[in-house]
Amino acid sequence: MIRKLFYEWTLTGNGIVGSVDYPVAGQAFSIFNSGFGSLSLARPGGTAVQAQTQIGELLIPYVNEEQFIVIDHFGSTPGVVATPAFSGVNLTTWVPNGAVQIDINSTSYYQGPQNVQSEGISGDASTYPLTQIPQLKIHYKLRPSVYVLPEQSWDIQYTMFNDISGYIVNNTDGVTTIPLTTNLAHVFLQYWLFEGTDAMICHRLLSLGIPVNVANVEWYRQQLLVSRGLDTETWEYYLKVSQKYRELEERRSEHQKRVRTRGGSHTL
Amino acid sequence: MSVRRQAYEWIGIISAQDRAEGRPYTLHGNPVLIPLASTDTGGYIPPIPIQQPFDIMVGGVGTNIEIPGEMRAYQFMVFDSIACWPPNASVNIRINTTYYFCDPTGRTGTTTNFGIPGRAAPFPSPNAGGLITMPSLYKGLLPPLYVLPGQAWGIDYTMVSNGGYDGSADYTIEQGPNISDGNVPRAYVLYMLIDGADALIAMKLLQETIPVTSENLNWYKRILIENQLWADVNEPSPETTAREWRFS
Repeated sequence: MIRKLFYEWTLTGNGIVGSVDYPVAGQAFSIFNSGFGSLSLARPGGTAVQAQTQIGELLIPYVNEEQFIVIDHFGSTPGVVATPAFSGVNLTTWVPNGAVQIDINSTSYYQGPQNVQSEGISGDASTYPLTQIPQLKIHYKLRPSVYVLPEQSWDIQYTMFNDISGYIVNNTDGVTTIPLTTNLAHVFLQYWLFEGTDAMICHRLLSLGIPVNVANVEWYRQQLLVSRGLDTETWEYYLKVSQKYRELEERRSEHQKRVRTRGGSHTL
Repeated sequence: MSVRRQAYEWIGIISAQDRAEGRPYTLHGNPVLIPLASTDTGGYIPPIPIQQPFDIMVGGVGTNIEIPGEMRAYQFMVFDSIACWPPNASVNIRINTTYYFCDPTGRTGTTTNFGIPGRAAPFPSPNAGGLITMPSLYKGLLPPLYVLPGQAWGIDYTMVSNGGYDGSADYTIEQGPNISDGNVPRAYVLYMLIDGADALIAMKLLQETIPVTSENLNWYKRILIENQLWADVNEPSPETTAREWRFS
């Protein structure tokens, strides 16, 4: 089975603010199991669960033996400066200045120019929700996609650099409360979950150097069906598949009028 | 061994603590800002000299890192795109001591050319000025720019003229703590980082004058695998990798 899955994490207000109700500014936390924000899209109405004690079990996303995950896209709330707005004692608007990092096992996907882990991709580079007209440029797209293989754990870490707790404690605006209706931050994630035989096909594609996506998995399945009754465990079979993929790619290029850009590489 | 799309973002902003300690920069990523009021964002824009380029990584202004960008022996980088803010700022790519953008006389860093201006490639989108990226830059740098193993690289940011997007900002003096997103100087660079065995393939593609893209890296790997499969079935390959690609 192939499923295109989405996950939206939302951090909303929690009424009167306590010292541990919100993430510590500048420290990365998991959008899945840190206890901050909405625990899951599956919760009715995306109920906010703020305090760690309210979670019965800390779930770590883990890819089972019969699964294969392709992370395709993510985005988060844009903006740098907090620009708090309020109505009476209630905070109504907040900009988190957040960044998203992908972790697979103990390795972070994004690193800085000095080759150490960075905070990730900001909400200004990959925005959610999208409010811009199509002509505007989306500065970051996750290409190539990220594969999470069986028996790997994965996580989405989010860091907020504007200190919401510090503001509530120190502000001179008279703000003491963040209502449940105030959205503080969003993170959006889109990924494909391949299960069962489709996950096995993903492995085959990976070993053949073919990008893992829905179209290629379905194509490979068609090849298997065409070869029904034949021996598919020999080098000849994989060779045939490899050649067929090359032909398929040529047909796609022709169909989409895309040709590899020639020459023109540039080095200084 | 991986191909990863990376982004580096510079923000010309410091926290009240950095300011109190006399630093116009912050190390280790974004500064943590503690707003004290709706008019006190807890952030300050340090003074930025006009028409004086500085490195966004180690230039001593805004968000800095400890060492300049340098490719390791097992890394290969492909620059995708570059952008900045406000519109009257410019960014230029530097590899070792050579700049990418220059004027028609071949010079760079002059009053007429400090790189690509924020008017042409604004970041972010949407932005306070309502500007959009020029169509010619929509897909970034074409052809892409490569940074080879062992090369040092950097991005030079220049505030070409004062005023900001609406003419109200004076960047020669410190601004804050009442600032808005539209006034914050920004620079953004998108690149593909290739390391490990994939970097070796990238060098091979470069030698064959084949553009280094994730698709072509995959293609080359497929050719290698296919050749191995041909070898395993004791038959010669009908395709001879890169030479055939050129004439296909």
